[in-house]
Amino acid sequence: MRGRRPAAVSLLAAPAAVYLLVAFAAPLLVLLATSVVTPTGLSATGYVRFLSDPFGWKVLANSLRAAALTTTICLLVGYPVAVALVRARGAVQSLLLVSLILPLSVGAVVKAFAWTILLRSDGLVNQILVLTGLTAEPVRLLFTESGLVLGAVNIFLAFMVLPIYSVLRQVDPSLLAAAATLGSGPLHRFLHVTLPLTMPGVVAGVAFVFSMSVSMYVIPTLLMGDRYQTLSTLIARSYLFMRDRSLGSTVAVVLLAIAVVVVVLSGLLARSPRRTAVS
Amino acid sequence: MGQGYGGLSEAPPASRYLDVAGVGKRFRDTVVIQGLDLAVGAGELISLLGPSGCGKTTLLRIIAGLLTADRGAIQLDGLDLTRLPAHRRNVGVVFQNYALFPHLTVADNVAFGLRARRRPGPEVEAAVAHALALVQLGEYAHRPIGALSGGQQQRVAVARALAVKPRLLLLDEPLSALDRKLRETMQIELRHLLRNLGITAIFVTHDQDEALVMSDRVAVMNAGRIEQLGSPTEIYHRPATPFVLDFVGLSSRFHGEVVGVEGDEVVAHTALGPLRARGRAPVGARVLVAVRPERIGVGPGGEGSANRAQLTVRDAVFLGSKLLLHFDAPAGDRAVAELPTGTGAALSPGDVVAARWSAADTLVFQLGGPL
Repeated sequence: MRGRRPAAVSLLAAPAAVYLLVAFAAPLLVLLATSVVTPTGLSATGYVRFLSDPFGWKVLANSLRAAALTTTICLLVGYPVAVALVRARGAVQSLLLVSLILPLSVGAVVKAFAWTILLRSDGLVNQILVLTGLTAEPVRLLFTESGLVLGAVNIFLAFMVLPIYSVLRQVDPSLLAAAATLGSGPLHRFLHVTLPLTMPGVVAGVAFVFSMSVSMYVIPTLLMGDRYQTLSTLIARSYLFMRDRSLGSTVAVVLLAIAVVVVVLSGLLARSPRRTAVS
Repeated sequence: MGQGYGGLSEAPPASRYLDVAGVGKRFRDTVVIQGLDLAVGAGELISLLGPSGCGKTTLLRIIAGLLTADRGAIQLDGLDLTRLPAHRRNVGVVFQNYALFPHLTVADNVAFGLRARRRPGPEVEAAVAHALALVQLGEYAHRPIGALSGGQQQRVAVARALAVKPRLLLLDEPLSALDRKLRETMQIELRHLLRNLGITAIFVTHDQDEALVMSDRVAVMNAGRIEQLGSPTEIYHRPATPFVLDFVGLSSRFHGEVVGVEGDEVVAHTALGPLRARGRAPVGARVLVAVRPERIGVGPGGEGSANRAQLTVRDAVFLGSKLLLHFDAPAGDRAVAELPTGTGAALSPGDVVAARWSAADTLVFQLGGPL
């Protein structure tokens, strides 16, 4: 499986590597430098300032909370969708896949705008809530965290479903049949066969959705407005309005650190000690 | 419909430990199993033998509860299984591809069924150790599944199914993925193991040798029904239909027409001339006359034999302990004899030999319908 590759083969990755180096790594270094270089020399004052400010923690907490909620709901909603996708046959399966993938071609800006319309107090969501009698009065959804998470889940759901689906469809159905003949009921089968075997998909989906939702910018900007800040919106404000490059680069590095932690952790989890490799 | 089944208190007779009654199954427009009955005694080893697509695996999955029959009833040890889901049947299955859990170790695979039943830890450990000892894999307990050879994986699959002490063990082509040498060793080992445990087991196989080796009785299946259920000797020496004759072992076979009936023997006119066979068929009936290759003697002698023919050797195949002679025969017929190596002189294609065999060794099947 893991053979030694001749050096020539790694040349295939060279164009991408060069592109990433120029377009991504170099600016990143500049960003890192900006966050620690002050007129008086190298210093971590930017970080000290950000982390000693309750507002900094508030922004960090906002981002992490929204991302955690979005990821959790995406997982809870997305896993059953992936199961349905695998079980569906023929036209139904194609329809489900298309309805999952096609919306990806609509940009996040457009979708976030659409949600501002849907979530208004006279919007469709509230009309349905009142019509069905779930609530007596229209509920305030726009500019609330619930509205933000609702919109974010809609926009990121496919990134949870697709990795889980791609792993789930490879689970040998005879494993579930074998479990059943061994006396394992539906719930036991799910917890002890399906779920462990699809963990790589779950980890990938969580990593995708979490890293995208912790750094989302357009969605909170449109659905929350200026009074709610996430790491991304704060970065933008620092650069565009406050002209504070030190703060902006510091927050950007914090965000980057979170992303790195998520990627490394999920990498470790996917390569869990229990072998999930197909023999 | 359960015809008179459903009484749980009455113990079934030993010969009806498993009772499959009138089971039918169709997928869309294809009838896979039609009105099939099968009774298996406690402790019996039964093979379902048939070509692919004959419904044998479907029947196995219906008994296991992995498929639902359209009609019919299944009783096991007096308990009606028909509507019970697989996980409540306590019917073990060894799958063709073993279906071992790749995320678990050998021991955890074997423990799976016991843990699903929430047995206490020490009991699970003891049962796992016992099951692995049965298949001689004790020291592999903590290996991951992927580190095992095919033969070892097969044994883990058997141990996993046995660990929960199933009331019935079903094996779906359990040895077909192994190479021939290993398969033959495992056949003997597995039969020995199941026999010692006294477990009732049903094998599904398309390999006639495996069916003959492994089982007390063989059910030869064709097109969704059982053509014959009998001991390996019955199946081989007294096949009930031309299909069984063809599917199990080699045979010489000649088409003909009955020209005389004498007691329990018939005389049929065939391409070889008149042949005498033990069996029943009216004069004028179109029949297939058949004889197993090892029953044919070649060369001078055998004055008492009822059937004689001059046959031209088309091919002589050396098979180690035996020599297989194929003779020229008209289209649709076949003439083949098997001699112990060393008895026949050097025979080569084109040689004409005198062949003979007795009427008692000759089978006759009446053919119905046109053609």
